[in-house]
Amino acid sequence: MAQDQLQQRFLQLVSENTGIIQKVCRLYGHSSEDMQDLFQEIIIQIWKAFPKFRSESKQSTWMYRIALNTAISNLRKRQRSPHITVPDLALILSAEHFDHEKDEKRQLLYEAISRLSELEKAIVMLYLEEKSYEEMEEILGIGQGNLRVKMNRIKEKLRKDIHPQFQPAVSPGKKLVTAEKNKDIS
Amino acid sequence: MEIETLKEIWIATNKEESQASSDREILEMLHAKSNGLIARMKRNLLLELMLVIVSFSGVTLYYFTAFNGRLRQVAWVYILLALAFVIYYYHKNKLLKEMQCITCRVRSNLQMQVRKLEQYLRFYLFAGTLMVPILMILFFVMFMVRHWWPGLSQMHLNSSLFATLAYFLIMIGLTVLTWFVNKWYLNCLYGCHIRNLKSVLEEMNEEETEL
Repeated sequence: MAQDQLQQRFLQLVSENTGIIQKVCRLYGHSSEDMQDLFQEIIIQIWKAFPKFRSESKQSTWMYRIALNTAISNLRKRQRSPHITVPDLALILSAEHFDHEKDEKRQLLYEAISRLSELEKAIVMLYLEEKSYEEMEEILGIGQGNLRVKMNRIKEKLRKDIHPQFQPAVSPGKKLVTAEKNKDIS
Repeated sequence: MEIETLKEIWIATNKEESQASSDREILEMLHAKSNGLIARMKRNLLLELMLVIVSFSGVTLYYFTAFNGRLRQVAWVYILLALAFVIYYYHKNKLLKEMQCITCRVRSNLQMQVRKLEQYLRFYLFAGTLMVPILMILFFVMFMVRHWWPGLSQMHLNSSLFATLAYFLIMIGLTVLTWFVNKWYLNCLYGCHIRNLKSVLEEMNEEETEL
């Protein structure tokens, strides 16, 4: 009975946070099989840690820690598997919703991110998820000053990487709104 | 390209592509074995323990009963080795349990993993290498007690000194060889993994030292 209740609470937690796991798998998996393996591994690790989970810490922070710890700790095994190219990755990710323009943008985004280091991938993911630097520090354990320096470098890298091929597709008004929204985190 | 544009693409992509897994699929995953490095190391260590227990039990029983029990000492050597292996197993298992804190901050988890993994490998290297001289000394002592001790003549003494010297030289040679073979083997198994983890850690620390 207690086990059933535990399982139900676990399933609820996973369904509420599946997005976090999938994003980590997309960034750190090199093939669809690899992403599935990583997804399963993260689920197993969450299940093992779940009995000790106390609601004191934020659910998403707790999930990000487990997912990133699992992904980064398992680098060795996955680097042995055949490396999939970025166009293949974009194909896997968007096979079901083929839209040429959208796919091109996505492909550029994933290509640029895939060229980042393992740590930079984690930082940029948290940034794109609109996490504050305080939360990033809670997850990664890197000081906020250090994170800001790294994020500026990443922005520069991405700008150099993507700029010649891709122009912003949003209206200036919209850009202004998002810039305002991010003031507190940048 | 503006980072804000990237953010919009990222959010839109994730909204479109996130697929909810069914409860049944998730529960099935829980029955699967973990494929993580530490879980695999734990499984291998347990397998090693089982193999040692089964094979040493067989060998010990054989030496207790064969040759009318005249080689009982060999059986006792194996019992001693099995006990040493249990201590070895306990220490390695303890290090493996301490190797990961999956809910900790990424940096502290990595620091701990690197530290414990290095301790684990050092222990593996020393224990694996020391096994050779310990085993050879034990057999030497046993042999001395059985064959040479009673009534050594001068001639026996001279030839035995030469044989002992040769035996110990071989022992040193084998120990050195085992050290290098173990080191190479451990590097093949874990060298790349440790280097990867260290490079992530170095990257995490690099600005901290500058700031």
